[in-house]
Amino acid sequence: MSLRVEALRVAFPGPDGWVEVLEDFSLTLSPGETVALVGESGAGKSVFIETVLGLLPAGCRVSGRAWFEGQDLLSLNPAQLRPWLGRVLAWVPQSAAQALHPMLPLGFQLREALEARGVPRAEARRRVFELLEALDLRPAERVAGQFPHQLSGGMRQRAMLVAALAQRPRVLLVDEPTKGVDTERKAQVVALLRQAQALQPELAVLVVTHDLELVQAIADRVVVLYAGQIVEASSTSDFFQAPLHPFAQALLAALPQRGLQALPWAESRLVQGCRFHSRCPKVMERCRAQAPPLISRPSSEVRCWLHD
Amino acid sequence: MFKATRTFPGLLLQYMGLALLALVLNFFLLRLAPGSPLLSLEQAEVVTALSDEQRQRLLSLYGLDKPLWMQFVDYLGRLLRADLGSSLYYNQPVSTVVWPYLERTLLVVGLGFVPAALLGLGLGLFSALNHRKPWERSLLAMLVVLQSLPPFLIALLLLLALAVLWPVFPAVSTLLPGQGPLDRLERLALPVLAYVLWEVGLFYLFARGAFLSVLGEDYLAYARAKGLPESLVIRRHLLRAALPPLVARTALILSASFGGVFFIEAVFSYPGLSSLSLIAIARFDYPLLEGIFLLTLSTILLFNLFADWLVLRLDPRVAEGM
Amino acid sequence: MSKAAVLCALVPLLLLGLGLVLPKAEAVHPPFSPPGAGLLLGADDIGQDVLRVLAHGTVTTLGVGFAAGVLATLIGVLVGGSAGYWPRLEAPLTRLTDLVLAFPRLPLLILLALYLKPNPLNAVVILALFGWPSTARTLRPAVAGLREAGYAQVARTLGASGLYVLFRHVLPQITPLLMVNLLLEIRFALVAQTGLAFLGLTDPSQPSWGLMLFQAFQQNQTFTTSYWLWTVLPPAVALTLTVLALSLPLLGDERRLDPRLRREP
Repeated sequence: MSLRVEALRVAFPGPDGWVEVLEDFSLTLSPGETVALVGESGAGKSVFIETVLGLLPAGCRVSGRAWFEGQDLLSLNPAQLRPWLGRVLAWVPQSAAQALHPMLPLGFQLREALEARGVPRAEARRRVFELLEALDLRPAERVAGQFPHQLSGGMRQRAMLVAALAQRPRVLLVDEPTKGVDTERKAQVVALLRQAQALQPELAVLVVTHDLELVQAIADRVVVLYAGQIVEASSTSDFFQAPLHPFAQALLAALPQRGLQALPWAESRLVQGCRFHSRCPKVMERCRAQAPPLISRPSSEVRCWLHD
Repeated sequence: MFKATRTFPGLLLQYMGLALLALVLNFFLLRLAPGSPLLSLEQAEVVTALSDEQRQRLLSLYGLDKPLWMQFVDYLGRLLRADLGSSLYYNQPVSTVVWPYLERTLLVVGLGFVPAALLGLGLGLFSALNHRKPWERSLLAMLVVLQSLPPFLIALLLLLALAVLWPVFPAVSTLLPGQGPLDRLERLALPVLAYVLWEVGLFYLFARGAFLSVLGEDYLAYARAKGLPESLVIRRHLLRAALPPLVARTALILSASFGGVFFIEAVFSYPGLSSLSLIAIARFDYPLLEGIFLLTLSTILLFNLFADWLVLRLDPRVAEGM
Repeated sequence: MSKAAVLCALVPLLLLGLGLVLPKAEAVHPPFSPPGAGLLLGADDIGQDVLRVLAHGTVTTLGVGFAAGVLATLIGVLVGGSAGYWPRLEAPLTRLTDLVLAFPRLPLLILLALYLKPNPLNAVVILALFGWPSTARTLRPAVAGLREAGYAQVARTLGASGLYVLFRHVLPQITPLLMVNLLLEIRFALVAQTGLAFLGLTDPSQPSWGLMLFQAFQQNQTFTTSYWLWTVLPPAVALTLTVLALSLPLLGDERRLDPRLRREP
C-alpha cells in the first residue's frame, strides 16, 4: 500500500537539447510516515510532484516507474490516471490563492470531486463540513458559501487541506507549505499537517520544502536533492545530528552566508564529475573527474566519494 | 469597459455622461456642418424663387431660425417626449421613416450574429484545447487573415466571387416596394454571409486567447489533480472562468457590428440603415440623420452597459475591487 | 510569414512608385474602354486612364494611412507612456483613453467626415484622433513595468528628466511592441479612410481606392458587363494585399496571440 518510485528520470526540452531535471530518482512512501524532500529551488523537488500527478507540460520526457498497489502510475495516460488523482494521490499546491477557482464558491469546490465520483450530495456536504469544523474553518456553512477571495490566506491554506482530505487519499503531496509564511503561521502549518495525520493515521505524507525547521518538526525521513539527483537519504534524527553529504552539511550550517553560490539550474546539470564539486568545501581530485553513485550506508544513502 | 467602476449606479452614471456627450456631438457637429437644409428643400420642392419672407417662414416652420442653443434645448425636450422630430426630406416623422430600414438591418444582424458567435467561440475553444498542434497553427493563420480584412472588403470579395464570377446570388440586394427581405431570401444571403464571415474571426481570436489564458491558470491544473473528469474541468472550470471576458467582448462585438453591417449593406445596396443614412446625408436631412445616429449610439451604449453589468454579476471579484 | 508580407507589399509599393512618377489622369480616352494596348487598365466612366487613377489613389490611400497611423501611434505613445511613467497621470489618462475607446467609432467618424468634408489632411487628423487609444492602452502597462528598471532609476538619479528617460531608456526597450502597434494603427487608418471614401464621404476630387470603388458602384453596368474587371478588381486587390501585408507580421508575434503559457520548471 505504499507509493514506490523507481529510477524516475524527467527531462525538459531546452534550447540546446534535453535538460535532465530529475535523474535516477527512487523513493518509497509508506503508510503513516512523513518524508521531507529538501533542496534548493530548481533542484527538481516540485517536478517530482508534477510528474506523479501528470501535470508536466507537454513535450517532457519521462521514464521510470511509480508503483501503487501493483499499478505503474507513470504508464497511464491522462484519462486513465484521473481516477487515481484526488482519491489516492492528493495534492496540496503551493499557492492556495491560485489553485482555487476565483468564481466558484469554496464549498462547491471542496465537494465537487466527491460528487463526480458518485458520493451523494448530502454525504459529500457532511464530509466537507466535518473537515471544515475540524480544521477550524467555522462556521462551516458560512465559509463554504464564500468565494476564495473573501477568505484570508491562512483560511485558504486550510481549505486546501480540506479539499485534499475530503477524498480520504492514501498519499498527500504537499508543495512548499511554508514558502513566504511568517513564523507564527509556520507553527500553524506544522499543526495542520500533524492534524491531517491524526485524522487519517494511515496517510503517507511527502512534503517538498527548503525549510529545515519544518522538516525537523514533522518529518520521519529526509531526502536531499541537488541538481536533480538524490544526494542523501536518511532519518530525520541522523540528518540533523550527522549529515553525510557536504551539501547537506552546508544546508544545515546555513552556508549561503559563507559564500555558497548557486549555479543556474540548467548549467548545474552539465557539470562533469560530481555536480556539487565546484561548490564543495571538501572537493577532491576524484570528484572533478568521476560522478559518484548513490552509496548505501547502514541506515542511509549518500552520493559522495567521501563515503566510498 | 471601465475597470475603475464597481457598482451598477456608478456604471449607469458613466454611461449617462457618455450618452450626453454623444447627444451634444451629434447635435452640434451636424448644425455646424457645411450645407443647408434649405438647399435640399429648394431642390426637393423646386422653389428656386423663394422670397426672403417665405424663406424665413419655412425656416421657422422647422425651428431653424432660432439660436443654436435654443434649438438644442428644444431638441432635448422633444427627445424626452420620445419625439425624434420629422424628416425634412420625407416629410414624415423620423421614427416612421427609420423603422422599416432599422428592421432590415436588425434582420441581417439577428440572422448573422448567433451563428457567427457560436462558430467563433466553438472554434476558439477547440483551438485552445488543441493548442500547438500543427493544424491548429494553420487554423489560427487562416482566421487571423480573415479577421484582418475589413467588413466591406469581405463583402466586396464575396460579391465578386458569388455574384459576379459565379453568379449564385444576385449582386444587388435592393428590394421592390412592398417586398420584405424574407420574401427574397436569396437577396439576404450575401449580406448575412459577409456579416458572419467578418465576425467569426473576431470571436475566434478573442475566445482562443481567453481560453488559453485560463488553461494556463493553476486552478485548472488543480481541478484536474482533484480527479475531476476532463469534461467537467472544461464545462465547469474553464468555461466558467472565461465567461465574464467572453460576455463582455460579445456585447462589444455586437455593438461594433453596427459599424460593420453599415459597410456590408452599402456594398450590396441592401436597403438598411446604411442606405437611409446616405440618403439623409445627401439631402442634409438633419432630423433624420440625428434620429439614425441617436438610435445607433444608444443601442451601442446600451449593449456596452449591459456587458459591464453582466461582468459585474458574473465575476464575484469585480464588485469588490479585486 | 514576413516573406509573404513583403510579397504582398510589392504591389501597393509598385503602385505608389507609379503614382509618384505618372502625371495626373485626364479624361481623354473613350469612356468605359476595356484594357488594351497603351491603356493597361482601361478607362473609367469619364474616360480617365484607370491605371493612373489607381496609382494616384495609392498615393492618397497609403499616404493618409501611414500619416494617420504614425500620428496615432505618437499620440498613443505620449498618452500611454505618460500614464505608465508618471503615477500621478495614470488615473486621468487611463480614464480619457477608456472614454475615447468607449465611444462608438463609426457613427462619430461619419459625423466628423460630414462636418469637415475631409481633404487628406483633415482625414489624417480625424483618423489619428480615433486610433490612438488602442496604442495608449497597450503601452501603459509595458512602460509601467519598465519604470522601475535599474537603468531608468540610474538615469533618474543622474538627473535626467522624465521625458528623456522615457524616450531614451524606456521606449527603446519595447520597440517590438511599438512596431506591432504601428502596424495596427496604420491598418485601422487605411481601412477607415477607404471605408469613408467608399461611402462617398471624402473629397471627390482626391482619387483614392475607396473613391474608385464608390464611383464604380455608381455605374449601373459595372457588374452586368465586364466593367468591374478593371474598375472594381484593381483597387479591391490592392487593398486586400495591403491589409495582408500589414497583418501577416502580427502572426509571427506569438505573445500577442498567446497570452501566457505554462511556466519553466
